[in-house]
Amino acid sequence: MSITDLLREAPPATAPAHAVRRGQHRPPPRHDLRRVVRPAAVAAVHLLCLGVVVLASRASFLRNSIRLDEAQSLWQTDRSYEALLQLVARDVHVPLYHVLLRTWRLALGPDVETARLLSLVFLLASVPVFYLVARRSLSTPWALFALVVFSCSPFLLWYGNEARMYSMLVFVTLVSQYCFLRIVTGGGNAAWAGYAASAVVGVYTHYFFVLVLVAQGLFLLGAWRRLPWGTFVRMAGVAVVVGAAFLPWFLYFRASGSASDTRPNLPAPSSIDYSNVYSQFLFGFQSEAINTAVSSTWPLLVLAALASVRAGAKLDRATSYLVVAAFVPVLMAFVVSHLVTPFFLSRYMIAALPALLVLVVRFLSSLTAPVARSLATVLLAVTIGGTVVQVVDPGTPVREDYREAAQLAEAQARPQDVVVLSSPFTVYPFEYYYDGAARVTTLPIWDRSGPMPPFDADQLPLEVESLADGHQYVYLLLSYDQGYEEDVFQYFQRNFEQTAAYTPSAGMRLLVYRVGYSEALPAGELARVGG
Amino acid sequence: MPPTSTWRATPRPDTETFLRHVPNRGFLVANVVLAAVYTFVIAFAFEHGNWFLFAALLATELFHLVQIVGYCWTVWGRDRPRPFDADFHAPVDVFITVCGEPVDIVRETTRAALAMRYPVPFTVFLLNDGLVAGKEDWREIEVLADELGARCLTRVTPGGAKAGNINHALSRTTSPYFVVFDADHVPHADFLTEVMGYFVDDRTGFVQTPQFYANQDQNRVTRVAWDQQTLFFGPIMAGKSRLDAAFMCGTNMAVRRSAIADAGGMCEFNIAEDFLTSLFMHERGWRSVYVPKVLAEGLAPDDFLNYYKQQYRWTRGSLEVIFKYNPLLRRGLSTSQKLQYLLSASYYLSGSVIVLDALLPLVFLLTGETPVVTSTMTLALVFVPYMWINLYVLQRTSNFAYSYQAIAFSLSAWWLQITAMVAVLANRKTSFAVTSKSTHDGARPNFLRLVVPQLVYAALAAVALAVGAVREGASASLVANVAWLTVHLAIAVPFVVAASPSRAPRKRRHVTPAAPTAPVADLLPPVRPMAPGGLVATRPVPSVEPALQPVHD
Repeated sequence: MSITDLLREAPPATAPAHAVRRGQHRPPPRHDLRRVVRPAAVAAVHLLCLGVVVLASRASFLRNSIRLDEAQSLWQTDRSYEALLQLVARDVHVPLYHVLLRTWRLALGPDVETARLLSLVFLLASVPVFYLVARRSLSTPWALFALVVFSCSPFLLWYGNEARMYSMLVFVTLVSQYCFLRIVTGGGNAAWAGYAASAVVGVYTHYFFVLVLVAQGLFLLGAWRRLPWGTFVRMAGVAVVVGAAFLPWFLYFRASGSASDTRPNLPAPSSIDYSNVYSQFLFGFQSEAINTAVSSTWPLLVLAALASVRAGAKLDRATSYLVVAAFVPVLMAFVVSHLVTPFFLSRYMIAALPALLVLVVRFLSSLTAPVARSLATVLLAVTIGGTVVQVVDPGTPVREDYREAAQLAEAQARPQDVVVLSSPFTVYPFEYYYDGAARVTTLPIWDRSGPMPPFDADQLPLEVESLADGHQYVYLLLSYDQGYEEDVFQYFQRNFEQTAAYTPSAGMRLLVYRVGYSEALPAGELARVGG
Repeated sequence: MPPTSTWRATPRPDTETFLRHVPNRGFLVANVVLAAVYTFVIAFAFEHGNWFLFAALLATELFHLVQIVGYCWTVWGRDRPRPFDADFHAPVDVFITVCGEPVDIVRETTRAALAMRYPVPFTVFLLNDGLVAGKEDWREIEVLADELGARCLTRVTPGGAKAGNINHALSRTTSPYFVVFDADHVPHADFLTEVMGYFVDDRTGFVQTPQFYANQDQNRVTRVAWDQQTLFFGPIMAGKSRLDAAFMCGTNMAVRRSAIADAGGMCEFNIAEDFLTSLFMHERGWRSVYVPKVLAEGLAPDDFLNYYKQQYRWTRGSLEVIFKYNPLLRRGLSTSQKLQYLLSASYYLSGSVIVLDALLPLVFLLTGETPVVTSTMTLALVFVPYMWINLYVLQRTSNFAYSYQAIAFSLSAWWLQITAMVAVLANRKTSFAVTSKSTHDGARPNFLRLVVPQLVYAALAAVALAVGAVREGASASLVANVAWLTVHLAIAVPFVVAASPSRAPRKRRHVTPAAPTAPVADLLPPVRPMAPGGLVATRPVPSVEPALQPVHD
């Protein structure tokens, strides 16, 4: 059975079970056949999707160089549970993923590939849950198609293979959404229990899970006339449970300084950042040129909106919720980033991605059959194409090839040279691979024990002088701009002779400057060479 | 004859959904707010580009804003209960206007009219304009009247078109009330009992009911014509009734004789005679009631030319009202009535607005000039939510009875509306060189001459694309404007397809009449102007949004 064969209309799961009126004859033979074939087809497509995820991960994503955030995960989970909790409390995250990751690494191995497998497990676990959510809004064939798109999604495959909590966030979000959709369509105690449990797990998975809960709350408020009063009472109960469960961590977090020293320095989001979130959700991380071209086609959304105006095309409750789930969290993050503090990164909003995919497929399914099938083919092709381009294009913006940078430095830098990393925290992914002869330091200079020092332009000449003193070459790795990368670059350009430049990945520069003209080794390095 | 394997029962067209409009004020407010924000941003937040283009853009945006505010105001609430007395049984005459329609169709309507339940005896009059209109079969209507027991009033002195026909009948009848049906609108048996009770209020001048197209599933044109009707006879007329501004739509209506006499009879000097007559009646203090129940079933224009002519008539009549009888200057109307009449008539100004919007991407590609200078994504951020909620409000208020095809037809009627406006301003009569041809084999006749402007636009778009690509390369601006061109061209596709010829289907399926009371679709002649419909949609920057106040004849 091909995907195209699957794209035939069938009622969604929420449709009335018996559309046949009393007294009407039913044609049993075909129905019986479907009862056998349909579960088999569903199972087959699930297996296919799981296979696609595993295959893509093994073929490419699992082998990527460690990235900055991953290095931080590994560094944190190398500590004891107690130290880990302290570190995470001082960071901008909640601890559940890190606790799981530490346990996982203790059991299976410490390397980054093993750590990534935990994320892959969550992505694989998300596959059937996504199908269950999709079925609340789509017919079986279209839900299966959505599942295929989900499995090929470049954005999900990326974070399903990163040693971070984002695929876990997707999984918990999907469980929460499934339970929520059952609740608002008359679900029983099991749905409520699942919802409450997923809510508690969710708020311990990522702070942004709160946006999922807020979106659900807003949806309930919008539907208050159509829902029984008891739903609101129970929802209030869940809110109390979640609040009580989160309170200990909140107090611990406050007592640990509320991550005041470790918040990322992010700019306020622009309209381009906003559109990039959805562009990345659908097409993955693409180069500037591709992304610009894709984003500029936004007027076609007008056409899509017009095409969705169809007689009788009333939004059911599940789809209405998915509209809220796909757009409200991102909108809230955007607004809060402007009103309070910037924290607008597409990966933080990954919880909105599954709902968006279901909505896109829902839109396609509402079109006339030939158009729907054609556009479905285009969507699948674009999704797969986006994944492939994301893998092979050296211009992919999120690729952080510290392995390549470390290998270059390792091969070329001598003991009389020094490797300088800016920003300081990039030392973690770099040192994961680096085993060279030259000393590694950071700019601003950081002793790794206290909080990261702020950049001071006035201090830059002194700092550079102190770290370059007695060395021949500086291997300057610029890979994570915290607002002063250009200052550092320009300072070196003005004061030293650049002898080589490498670009291991987009946005990462390894620049070699000659800073000394004596072949004598600096005193500090003699012992190591001799030893 | 038993059904064959190709036979498929056509479900009875839905006569209720489009009338079950439940306003959601939250969405209406959000729609107005987003529209205002968008217009404000366009006007003040962006750097201005070419001043002429900016002025044109701003004018279009203000037009859209007014239309949206007007629409949301119109559909803000449901109509209030009106005094109704089921025992009010005043004498009434039934007028069926005939002007060359096939006898079978007139027979169906006449039989249904004669079968209407009403405690008081009434007379059915066939108002036969066949003679003055030069129709060959005018005598057959007289024979038909004799055959069925109706009375035939054949005019011998031309003038005033349908309005003159009705006035002629009024001069020969005496009942204090009369109802009017077009020849192809078949009344239900309960029409009089559902309508006449509203005249218990002495101030009620007329009662209008929806126009329903029983042949809506016949082809693309009938479907679109019906979809457009749903918005007008669903939320818009109900809203107008709430504001005492519901107007007569030419058929399926009951009128108090003294009220129309007070207004000087049916207005004979405007092509939208019922619209203007309603205005005159309201001006003299008479009230109107809209009954949101399908009490008669008619036929939609069944081919592109008839649809085009119908739209042209409505457009021209409405624009004449604006330019010659400006509602804002009529003293007897309440403020609400003035604004409602103006909103309805001004909808047909949207043709100029649409073409301005459609030209913006062309101008950019050809010259590089833009009305505003901003990041295309910033524009998207304010425009897309506004557009989406606009369409959702449209869907919600029509109770999900509206369609993309209906919007596409409305948006594609810009040339028709512009030519009508030119004709009004020049006080020139318009005739159509194209004639409606029945192919009798299921094929679609060729009316491509009527969509030449759309085809010219497509050709210009191709040229502009080439020029723009050479000048700009694959810039973000070029991609965005090409996307806009795509939107405009895609919107025109249903309109052009409906006008283009097609071959007869290889194997014709048995066609079942859509409704028990509907005439046989294949016998349809050029249909007389029925009621309106019409939504609107126009676009801002280059965008597409509903502007929303159609008018009927």
